[in-house]
Amino acid sequence: MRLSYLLIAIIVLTGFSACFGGTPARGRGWSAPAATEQQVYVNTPEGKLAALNLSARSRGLIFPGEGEWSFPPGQKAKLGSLFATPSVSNGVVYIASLEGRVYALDAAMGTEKWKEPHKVVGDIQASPLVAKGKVFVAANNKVFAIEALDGRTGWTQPFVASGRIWAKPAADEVETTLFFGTLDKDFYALDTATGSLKWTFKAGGAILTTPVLHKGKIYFGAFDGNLYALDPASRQSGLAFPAQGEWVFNATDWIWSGPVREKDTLYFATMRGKVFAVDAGSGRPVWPGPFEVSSKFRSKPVVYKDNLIIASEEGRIYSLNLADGQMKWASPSSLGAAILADLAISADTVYIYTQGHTLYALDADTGMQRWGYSVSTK
Amino acid sequence: MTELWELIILRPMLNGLIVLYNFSFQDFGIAIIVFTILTRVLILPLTIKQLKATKAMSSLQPKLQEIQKKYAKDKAKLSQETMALYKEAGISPMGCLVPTLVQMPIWIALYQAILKVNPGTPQDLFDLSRLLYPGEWLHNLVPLKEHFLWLNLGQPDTLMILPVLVGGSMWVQQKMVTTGTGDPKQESMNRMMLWMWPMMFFLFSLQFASGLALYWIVSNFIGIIIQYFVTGWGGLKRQPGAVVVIPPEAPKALKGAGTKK
Repeated sequence: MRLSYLLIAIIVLTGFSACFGGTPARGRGWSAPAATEQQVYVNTPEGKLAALNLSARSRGLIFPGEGEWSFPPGQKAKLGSLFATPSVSNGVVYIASLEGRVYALDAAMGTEKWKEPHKVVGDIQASPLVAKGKVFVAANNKVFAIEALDGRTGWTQPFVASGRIWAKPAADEVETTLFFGTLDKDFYALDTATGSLKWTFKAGGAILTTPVLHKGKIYFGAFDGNLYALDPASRQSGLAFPAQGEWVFNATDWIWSGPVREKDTLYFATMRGKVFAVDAGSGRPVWPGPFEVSSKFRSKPVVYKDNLIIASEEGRIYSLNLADGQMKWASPSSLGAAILADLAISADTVYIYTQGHTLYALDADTGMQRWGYSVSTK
Repeated sequence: MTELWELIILRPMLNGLIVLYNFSFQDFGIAIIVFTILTRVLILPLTIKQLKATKAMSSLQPKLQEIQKKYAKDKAKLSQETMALYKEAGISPMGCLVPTLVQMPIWIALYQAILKVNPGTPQDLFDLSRLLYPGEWLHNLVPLKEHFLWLNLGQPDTLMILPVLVGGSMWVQQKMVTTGTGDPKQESMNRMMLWMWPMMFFLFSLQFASGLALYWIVSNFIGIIIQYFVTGWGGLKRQPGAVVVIPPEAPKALKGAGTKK
């Protein structure tokens, strides 16, 4: 009988090691490209930041071509996992590694602007925001402010939120208030100068979208399927939601794509494959009905001229008329890998970074592929 | 195979846990405790059968030793007589294994479910969306609050309180089931098992999500209570030195001393 226990012990050990494989993997995520007129910055699968020159990529040159670099330099050096999309501001690229290191690099040369990277405790998933001379970074449930100029600590202490922060924060026009949401359904407004709390709002679902600010109101989507429109003055006064000018639009499924704004309309998509256009003032739908596909939308769309360009998880790209949601063009087939990272646009080119680590450049007018580059710095 | 596992075991368990979470004050720790109680109630008939089989096996030890001695040189006959003894007593050696084997897929699926409902990265959260059953209210609950007391249920307990409790409760349970046999080899094996199981699960708990350790602790405590009502305190009650090995030439009156009645 005791031998049978030994047998169970062996089965349990084998079963556990086979099925569990130790601690959970941390190396899975996505980050979007950051595009300027001359370059596109992307995180590589090897854990580096690559600056790609558009001319070199369109000619299919071997990396690094003219005007291209990777950081950190050297074959073996790497930053670890990079889930946060790089932010470009005033000729500086700000990147944050999952392990909590923030770097400021010269956008043209790839050299470090700070003496050393700024270290914070926690996992960084969200893209850094540059506003009011500071870089705002979220690690786990904390928000840190770093002086953009030299990498010194910007606040006396980080702000501690209720839950993890996975979406890039946003600032108002005068850059005095910082807005962000958490996985614990809380939405925060902080003073950018001190990090002190101005007000909070409880949504009905996890918040994984970057807020959009327009005409003094704040818009964000949540996992309860709602697009929220908040009035900061009403929230500051503690009025019951929805106060005058505030509204909720229900899209019935997780909102993880958008919103983006063009004129007075907000565009966003759901994980059930629907794209909506909602009037920012009234919260009423603008299109006769949502645009629908059989896939999911995670990737944030971009606006080009009078088109909304959006990518589905299955790897197809769609261009929709902003006015009525009618499809103008769609990529004839999938790009061959899932698209989860936000899209980027510069001039008339849309950049798409697939989960297969290929960066595609598409003609925003026609959807024709200009070039594709398998991102690697090896 | 992976799809079948997801369809039959993982998805029902994962969605069931989320439903339980909703009815457990939206507290994932309480949901795991309720889930453990439900699981133990579900396999209670098997557990009772196992405990009775274990008790019966212990009472058969003197007879088994006799048979082993008698047919030491005839392995076929030894096996035949042993099986006949089991049949006569109405017990199956497999009856001791079944509840543990039944729980194994539950452990594995629970571990996976705990990790999946507490996604550590956006990709994990996206993958979770594929495993959810349709239902707006169900989707709205995700991601769950992963904190319970001092624990992040998706991460190991850094204070090591849970691993110690897992090991300790498992030792108590193991000690209760360990009975004296009078056979030195068997006693040596018993001692090894008494420490091996708790140590093994202590080490598992150090490495795996604390939500799984919570399941083990609650499961062990329920096991101890059930065991107490079925077999009593068992080995816990025995005094040190109560088990004595009686040499074959010892007087008949002494034989049987130290064995559990």
